[in-house]
Amino acid sequence: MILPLIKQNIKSCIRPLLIVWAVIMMYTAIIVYMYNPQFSRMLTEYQKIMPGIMDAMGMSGAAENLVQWMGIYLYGFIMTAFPMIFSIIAANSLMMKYIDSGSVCALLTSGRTRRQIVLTQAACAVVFVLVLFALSTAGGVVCARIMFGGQLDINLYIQLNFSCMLMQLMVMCVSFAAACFSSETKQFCTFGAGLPVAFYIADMAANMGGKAENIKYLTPYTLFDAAKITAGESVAVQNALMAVISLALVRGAAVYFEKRDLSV
Amino acid sequence: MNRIEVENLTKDYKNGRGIFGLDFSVGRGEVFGYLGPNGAGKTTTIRCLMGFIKAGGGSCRINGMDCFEHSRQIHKNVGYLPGEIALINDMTGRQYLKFIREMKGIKDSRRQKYITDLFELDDSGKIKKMSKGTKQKVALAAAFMGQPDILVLDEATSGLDPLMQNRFVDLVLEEKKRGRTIFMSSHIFEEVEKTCDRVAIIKDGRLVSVESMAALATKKQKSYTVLFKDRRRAAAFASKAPFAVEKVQGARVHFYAGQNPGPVLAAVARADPVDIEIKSQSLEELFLHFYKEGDR
Ligand SMILES: Nc1ncnc2c1ncn2[C@@H]1O[C@H](COP(=O)(O)OP(=O)(O)O)[C@@H](O)[C@H]1O
Ligand SMILES: [Mg+2]
Repeated sequence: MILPLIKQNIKSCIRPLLIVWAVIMMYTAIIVYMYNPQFSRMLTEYQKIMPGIMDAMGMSGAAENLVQWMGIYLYGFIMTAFPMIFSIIAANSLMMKYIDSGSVCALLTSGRTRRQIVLTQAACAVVFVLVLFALSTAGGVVCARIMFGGQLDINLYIQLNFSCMLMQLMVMCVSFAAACFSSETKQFCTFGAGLPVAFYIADMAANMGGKAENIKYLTPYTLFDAAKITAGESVAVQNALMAVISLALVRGAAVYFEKRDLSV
Repeated sequence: MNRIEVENLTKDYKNGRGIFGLDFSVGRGEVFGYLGPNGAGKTTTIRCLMGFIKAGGGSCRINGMDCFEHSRQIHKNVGYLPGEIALINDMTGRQYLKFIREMKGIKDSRRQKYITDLFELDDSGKIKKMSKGTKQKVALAAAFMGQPDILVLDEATSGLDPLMQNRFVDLVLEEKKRGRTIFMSSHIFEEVEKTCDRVAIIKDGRLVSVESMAALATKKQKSYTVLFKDRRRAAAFASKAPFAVEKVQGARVHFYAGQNPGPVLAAVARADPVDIEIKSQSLEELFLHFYKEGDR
């Protein structure tokens, strides 16, 4: 770990992290506020009238309690989209920016190995996602406590966030690996930003059901299954799979970064 | 022991681009100039030396260690100035230098202060807004701040005004006195002439020559222009001259000659000239001659 670099990473990522967290908190507050078992039943009616749209947003199924409500309306869209945006921004400022601008030479000539550099950046990327989810989870618990007392099943809520975090770590690793493999921002945009967004859209399409459902095998996002978690079913296999994919991506990225040419 | 050793170094970028079979070495305490026109392969060579790119063939070593495999140990003792200045744009100059100091673990900032004062650098502004010359000064401060034993400088004076170019020459001479080894690429003949012990000339990725400055100086030719009373005498002198005559223009005869001018001057004296003009070939003219030689 390279301390001055970590300090610099915090400086460059703290602002997007806090902004994304603020947006998440805003939606969390609104969605918790809107929770009301009767309203929930009404929304279930909506789903019957216009199934396509609600399904695409990942907002399907009936909520019988607060954690299921949040699972449908918060983790169907907000918690999949916004941390992804943060991941793309962070991968860009932790790795791509240095390579594209050539300032990576300042890191390479500082008397550190390439492995130290790439692992420091990867560790920071992972920790930032962890922090974002820790803050969001805490915020969600506080919101629920203020508005609905002890109605939130904290245990399931934490499991929900843990699994969602693993999914977002996977997104971060896709983006980070893309940065390690790219020489220019253009390539990074195609793979580091393009792939996560494509996966996301594929996930939305898969949610529409019908024939499109098979698309779910093309996107790793389906490994995060909010409905299953809030129903109390185990997602240990999915979680393990997401962790393994993330590790493999970081490892591949680090190995490549150690060997690659950096024409700076 | 040689500080830098390059053996048969090759990096082929296809279409005749890249560097091919470079061989040279730089001794301890030597200032080594690396000259060549744009696109000759200077920066590519330096990227190999810094371990940014892996040699396609051959090897390069600094302090006996492979430049790619041992870049960490090598960089602990090397100051590097990139050819394409790439600083961290959203920092101020001062923040950047502090960041580099911390990254390299340099506790003492006096040397940095000395360099920034020498180049009259105002490091308070955002790097994004700095002029090219100011960025260059920041990069110079970053390269020299750690008092490294080896300096690798890629076109160090690009963007600097003539006054600052002179300060740079002084700085290099000062470092040379302290026994530092300096490898500098350049296409400015004057700074090379003033600072370097040896120069390599590279063209189209291949070394054209590696020579000491002293040896180069002996290669410098003198240009003679001799004026005679009339055309007839000029033609007669040209036909009998014991050396190659460049051209005869009316009553004027032009030719080049090297060291030991005795016989030349004797022949001229015997022909009873009206006037004579002798000019030293500049190093620049000599280099341009080498550049052209590479074309053949
Ligand atoms: N990463 C690269 N990919 C392809 N070609 C390159 C790359 N880097 C340099 N070149 C080519 O190699 C040649 C030498 O470039 P360079 O070493 O930058 O020259 P110099 O520094 O002497 O001006 C140029 O023709 C350049 O276009
Ligand atoms: Mg160059």
